[in-house]
Amino acid sequence: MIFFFLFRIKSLFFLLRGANEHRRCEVSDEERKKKKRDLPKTLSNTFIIKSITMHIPDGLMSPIVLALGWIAALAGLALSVRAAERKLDERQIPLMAVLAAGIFVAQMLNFPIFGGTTGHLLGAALAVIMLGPLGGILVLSVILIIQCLFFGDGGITSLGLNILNMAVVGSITAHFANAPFRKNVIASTLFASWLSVVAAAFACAVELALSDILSGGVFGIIASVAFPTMLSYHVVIGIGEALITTSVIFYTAQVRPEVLDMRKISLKDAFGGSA
Amino acid sequence: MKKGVLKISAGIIVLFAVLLPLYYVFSAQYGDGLEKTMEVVDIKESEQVWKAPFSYGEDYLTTLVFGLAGFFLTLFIVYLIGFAMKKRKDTAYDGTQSHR
Repeated sequence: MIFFFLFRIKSLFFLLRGANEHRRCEVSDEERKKKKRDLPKTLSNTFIIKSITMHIPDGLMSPIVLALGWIAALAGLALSVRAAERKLDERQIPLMAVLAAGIFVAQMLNFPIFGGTTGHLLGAALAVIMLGPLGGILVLSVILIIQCLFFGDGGITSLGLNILNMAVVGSITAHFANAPFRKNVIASTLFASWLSVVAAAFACAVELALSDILSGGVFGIIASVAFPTMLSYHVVIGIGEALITTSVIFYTAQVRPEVLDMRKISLKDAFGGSA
Repeated sequence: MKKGVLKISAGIIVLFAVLLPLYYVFSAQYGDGLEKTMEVVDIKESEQVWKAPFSYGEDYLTTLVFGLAGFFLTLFIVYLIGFAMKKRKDTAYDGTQSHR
């Protein structure tokens, strides 16, 4: 098992060394036209998927940004584990498990926005509203690790950045965006879930731009493209996220309001006294 | 929870379980926000370092199977983590008590 793991890790060095050789794709106009011509045929085909990536793949970010992402992600994860170990309520365990499984499935599904683009649920706001900010980080991190290790969704080298963007940035943003309007559940959920997606996309754009600057254009995407493109898509994807999250919270408030009143795993729990 | 609400909830879950893989197979052909951004600058995804043992499936049936597998795998792992944390918390509490 250990040898198998080392073999996998060995290929990481190969990737980082050779990333520049195969990451830029030279697509001729003819190929692009052909691709466009083939698209309707593909859609009318028998629903066969070619490939799927929803999270940051390997070889896109510079090694320095990847390392920084791992450090920040591990710090966030360590805080959430520390807080959960102190304050996790027995009743929260099944809720946490069901919520995680539900978000896993929801993240598989892309909903269409515009220009042939799709977006998927992040689930950060949903997890934060039900479990608290550190509970959200914990649940989303586990989902991202499972998606990466078992289903190849997102690269293993960029797992730190995926955890940082979606679990840490998404959850913390959702928590602080939700707090001021907590009395109006619908308004606060709409705003927190929309902002969590935009903040996660903004963090990703920062990483793309930073990778581009640090590597002299070898990795990442130039800032003038990364920021407007990522934000324009995710501002719309955030609306889908807001509608789905608010529907789930509204439904829960109607049928099981006590779930929303459960004690949350908050930021204070990571730094407070002993259990 | 009321029996009627329980029935409706179960119905919604079953409906989602049957229809979502079909929707996934349709929608997964389109790129998401990051993929589209990569397309703008003609960056092609490089080969993955870690070869995952499963995928999200390639047709309705495999997507349904892998979606359910992912659901139960996540449910099991998170439950296990939660249970382990609770146990550690209880052990730490017992330790504190015995010192007193």
